Amino acid sequence: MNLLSNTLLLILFVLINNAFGQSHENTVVNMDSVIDKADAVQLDESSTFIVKDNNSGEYTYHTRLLIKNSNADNLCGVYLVQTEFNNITDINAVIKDTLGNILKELDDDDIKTAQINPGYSYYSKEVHKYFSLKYDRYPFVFEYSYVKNFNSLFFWPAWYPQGSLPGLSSTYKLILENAVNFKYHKIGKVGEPKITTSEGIKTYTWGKKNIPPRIDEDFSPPEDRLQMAVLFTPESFELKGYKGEFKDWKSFGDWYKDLSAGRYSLPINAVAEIRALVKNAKTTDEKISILYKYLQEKNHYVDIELGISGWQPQSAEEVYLNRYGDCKDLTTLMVSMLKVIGIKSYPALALTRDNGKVIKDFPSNQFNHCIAFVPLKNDSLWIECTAKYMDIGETPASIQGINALIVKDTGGELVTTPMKKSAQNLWISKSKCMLSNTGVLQFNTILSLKGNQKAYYKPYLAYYNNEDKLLFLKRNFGRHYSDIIINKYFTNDSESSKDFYDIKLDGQYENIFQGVGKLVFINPNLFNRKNPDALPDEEPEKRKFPVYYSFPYEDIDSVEIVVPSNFKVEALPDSVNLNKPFGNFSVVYRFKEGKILYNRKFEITEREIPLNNYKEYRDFIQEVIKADKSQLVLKRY
Amino acid sequence: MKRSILLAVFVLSFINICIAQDYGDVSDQELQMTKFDKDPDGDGVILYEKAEMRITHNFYLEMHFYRKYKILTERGKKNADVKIYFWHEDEISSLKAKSTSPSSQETDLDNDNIITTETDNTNKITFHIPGAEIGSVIEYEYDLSSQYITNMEPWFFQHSDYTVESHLDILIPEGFAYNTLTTNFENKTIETKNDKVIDPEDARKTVAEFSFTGRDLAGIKEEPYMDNISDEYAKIIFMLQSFHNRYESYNFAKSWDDLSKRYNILYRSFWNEDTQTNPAVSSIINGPNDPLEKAKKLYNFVTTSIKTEGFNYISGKNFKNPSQLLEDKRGSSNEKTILLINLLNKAGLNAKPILISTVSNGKFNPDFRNNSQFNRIICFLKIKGNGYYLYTDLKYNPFGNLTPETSVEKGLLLNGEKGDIVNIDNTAPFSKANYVTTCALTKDGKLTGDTKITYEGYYALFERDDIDNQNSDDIKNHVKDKIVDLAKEAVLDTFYYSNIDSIEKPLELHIKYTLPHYLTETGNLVYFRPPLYTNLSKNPFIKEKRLYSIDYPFKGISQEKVTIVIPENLSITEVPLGTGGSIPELSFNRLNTKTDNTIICERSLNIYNRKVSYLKYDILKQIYNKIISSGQEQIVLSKNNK
Repeated sequence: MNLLSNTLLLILFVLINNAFGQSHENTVVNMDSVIDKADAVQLDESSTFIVKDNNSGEYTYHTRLLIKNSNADNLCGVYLVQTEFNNITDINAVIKDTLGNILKELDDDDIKTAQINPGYSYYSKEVHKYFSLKYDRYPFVFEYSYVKNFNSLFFWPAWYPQGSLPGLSSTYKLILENAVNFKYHKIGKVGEPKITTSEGIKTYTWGKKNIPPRIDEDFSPPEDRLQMAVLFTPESFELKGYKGEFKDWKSFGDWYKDLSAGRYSLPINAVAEIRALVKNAKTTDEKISILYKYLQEKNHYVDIELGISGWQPQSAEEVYLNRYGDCKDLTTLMVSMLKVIGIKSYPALALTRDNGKVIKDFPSNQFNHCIAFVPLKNDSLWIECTAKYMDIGETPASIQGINALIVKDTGGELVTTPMKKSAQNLWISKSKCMLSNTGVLQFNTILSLKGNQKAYYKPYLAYYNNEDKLLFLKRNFGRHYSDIIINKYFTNDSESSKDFYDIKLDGQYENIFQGVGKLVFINPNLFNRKNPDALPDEEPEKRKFPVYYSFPYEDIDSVEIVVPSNFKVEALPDSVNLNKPFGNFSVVYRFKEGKILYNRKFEITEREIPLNNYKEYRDFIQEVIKADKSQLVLKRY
Repeated sequence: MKRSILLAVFVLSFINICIAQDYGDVSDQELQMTKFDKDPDGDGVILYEKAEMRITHNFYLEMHFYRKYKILTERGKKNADVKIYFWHEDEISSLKAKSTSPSSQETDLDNDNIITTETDNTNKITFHIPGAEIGSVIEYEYDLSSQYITNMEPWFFQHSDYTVESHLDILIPEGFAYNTLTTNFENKTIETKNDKVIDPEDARKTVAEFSFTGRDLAGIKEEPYMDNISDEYAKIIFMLQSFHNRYESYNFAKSWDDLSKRYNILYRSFWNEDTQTNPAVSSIINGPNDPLEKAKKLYNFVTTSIKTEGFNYISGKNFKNPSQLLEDKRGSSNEKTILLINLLNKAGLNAKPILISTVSNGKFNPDFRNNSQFNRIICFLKIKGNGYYLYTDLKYNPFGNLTPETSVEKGLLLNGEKGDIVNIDNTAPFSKANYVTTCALTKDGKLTGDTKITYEGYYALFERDDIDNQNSDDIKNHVKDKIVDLAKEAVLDTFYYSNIDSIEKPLELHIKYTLPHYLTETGNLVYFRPPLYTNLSKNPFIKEKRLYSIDYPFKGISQEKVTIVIPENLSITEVPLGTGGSIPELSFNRLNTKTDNTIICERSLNIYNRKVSYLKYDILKQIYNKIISSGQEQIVLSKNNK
């Protein structure tokens, strides 16, 4: 309705180019359909980072957006993040018509400042500067610029030429006023910089034209969400007096070691308490386990950014006394407690898997989390100190198979954390059920969970009170038959193996019959069906990225339903057996001695399914969805 | 065994031991308590909470606040994360906080860990009470000083957790007149005491002391379909009326006339300063003399030409005047309504603002004469003895309609110098969504459908609003979402809307779609779920009990009829029987009928009264179970073996 036709757009771009004296060859030809569909277009964007010296730089950003209709109004509101290491100045914004005439200008009074913490963070020192300019006659050009002054090169701004809008042009200019050693890393097709030198000042310029919007695909790996960028890092930096280097991972580890030096001591009473806790423990494993439980029970995770912009941990003594802290604070306490009983351990910096992967050959500031690493004789332990309900040796999927930087006495060492296999992330359900003439299905189920599947359910059930626990169970086990009644439930670590967490349920579905006449349908897959949402949207020929799972896993379900004697099976769905390089699926239906016997197994063996297997994967999931929908038919006599 | 008896004693005897009322007084019983028998599922319990307020001789409001909380679960530890919001000109001092562990270990809050954040109007103090663990008793207290003595916030005796004791104490020097207003005190233990005590500032004088003490008050938690949770809390509002002595005389309020006068001055100043509306009025009206026609033209101008945007203040420095609105072409619904009133009056009509509190903002209390209750302005227009209520928020809201959010019983009519509490006799529009579909199954298991959806009343309003200002792709996605609910693989073949801009007529949406591979086979049988748009997939009522009414947003009728033609190679074997259920406020019906090769599926869910008493929760839950299970029913066909 508010779309501009291609012809009109073409005219518009000619006008814009005339108005701004710039040329965008082939723009309309190459970006035609993308631009036609978009509510806004980034006409140009330029970033300039002037490195003043080893410790400071000035970043200038300027952009112009063509706003085509009111759907893009939100782009005229800009939020900028200011931290203690950068200061934002010179914010300017104007709205122009397509001939370049100024229609509206931003008043300084309209620039607001607020300390708005993101929902996950209790407190951080970030300040948001924000403004917006609105106009009601479309199209118009929204143009804004600002300057950020950095007082540390640790946070060297990257170049992200690609966003959610189609872009006609983006440049990044790096000007070295003083010789500063740096490295850069390219993501996607961003080309090489043009390097010039004038009066001893070296300038690097990257440029990109006709930039399509970022591709957003279902279930794509986190790192593939960033498809075009140049990342920078200085070889050396300073943060509030702490000097460090990014020459290699070892030197960066050294910096964190210095930053946290002297923070691993505990007061005498804490030392006594810790020693008393482990005095009867016989093995190292047992001691670590006791202290981990103590850490979990006594402390509270609060994402509170105190210290140097969230990098310097609170001292172990403070954490011990206050009983709260963020990941690095709790890790510091854990490492310190282990130190008290003579077990050597180290903090390790991590980038959680949902945020991508650490680029191994680019030592730089890439981390967002901190965990503990305990080297042991036979094996090593990774400890997630913020996890409340994990047993020692268990880790959440977010830190499995990642590159973590262990901060050893000898410096940093980048190590890949272990990854659990599908058989270690198990869901095993066994249900014995009784069907009534009226369609009431009484069930008695034991669900045993292991690994990451356990890590999903256990924290909720341990955290909730009884009322919320019941609601949670109803929601999860009443997904397909919502009129569920849970008479009794029991949740605990398994009696048979400490690796498993058991949920025992005793309840009924009030009406499981689909159809009420002589023929009734039952889907014996009571609570573990793949629904159509599991199918990625992209057709195989259009898919660009692999399929990503948070972790490989295996589900095994068996259901036994005793059928009333006046019912006979009219038809059973066909059994299915699929074996693929990335996973397996089988389902078997039987009717024996008045019982329906249903067995299902679904397994994903890989965290990442390569692009060349995508078609096969999509077909596989479609087959699974179809099979999970199948019902058997009973006839009433 | 001994230990468990001891614990039981602690649990059972706890209710009567709340005597420690000052910061630092934590009893052994409080520390040893492991479960609270009156709320066994509670994450914690507010052991004691008090506010001591005082009006000083130099007209300052001083308050001392104290809270003591027992943590009983991991989730209860969240209460150790404290955020205090306060007006930027107020001052908070003497902030202290500490935790006491079950083993009596005390940990005090370090002042370095108190973080104050300043913003334009509201400041915030953030801290985490150190040492808090399960079983700990946490406490914090602070003093607040404010020059705005009439800004006493309502005192809530109830919260989401159980409250053992909540106490409000107010000292008022001689000369003040005051009033109190209580809400939801029924069936609760809340004591009130009035007394004269020595004036803390001048021992020769006495001051009036008012004490309110609530005991054993259940926690209230959010549930689906609740208008506003705070409407359910027991609360008290203390209102200063005036101050008089030999030398000074102040009237703090608060008659509705006072408020009306104040707003009248403000809104009139907009109208007087306004230079643009006069020419605007004549160009908008452009002809008709009939007052109703004129009013409709002006209303349409404001709703369609001025985009709704921005925070809904009812006054203040950021409130845009009509001229600004005409220039910017955007403003909040309140600003738009003031513009509309201005235009109507300039056109010689009689329009006045009514201040209201929207449904989700909480019930308006006519006895609490304070503007903080209001969050919206609607327009009351009188033409030839007929009254019209106008609200400008939504572009497609027909003239004379209020939205469900603004359909409230009472408001404050700003009648020049007079403020009148008026009943808002707004008749909600007849709201109906009617879905009629003709489907054909093909031999290869494909289902094609041709649907006409007719939206009336609020259904039309919201559907029109959903597609307003959207580009064609977004509208297509919006329609596609409807058929994706039928089947994920659904293909939208064509669609169009009729009567989008003819808001007096029902809105129509015509959809043609295909559901490939819609049939499932088991042996010789083939089955499928009737493709009903109005099926519900989740029951919102899964809690065992409910203590508060179920508040639907509006009353309305939702009806659907699907006719399915079966191909020759299949025959109808079984269709589900009908089902239904009703209470006077709501009815649900589901019916299937068949002929030789045709199946007709009908469904209706009618809400006759938007409020359903909690006493009917169980039966309502049963009806919803039927709604959900009927949506999963299958039609069975057999393959013809010809």
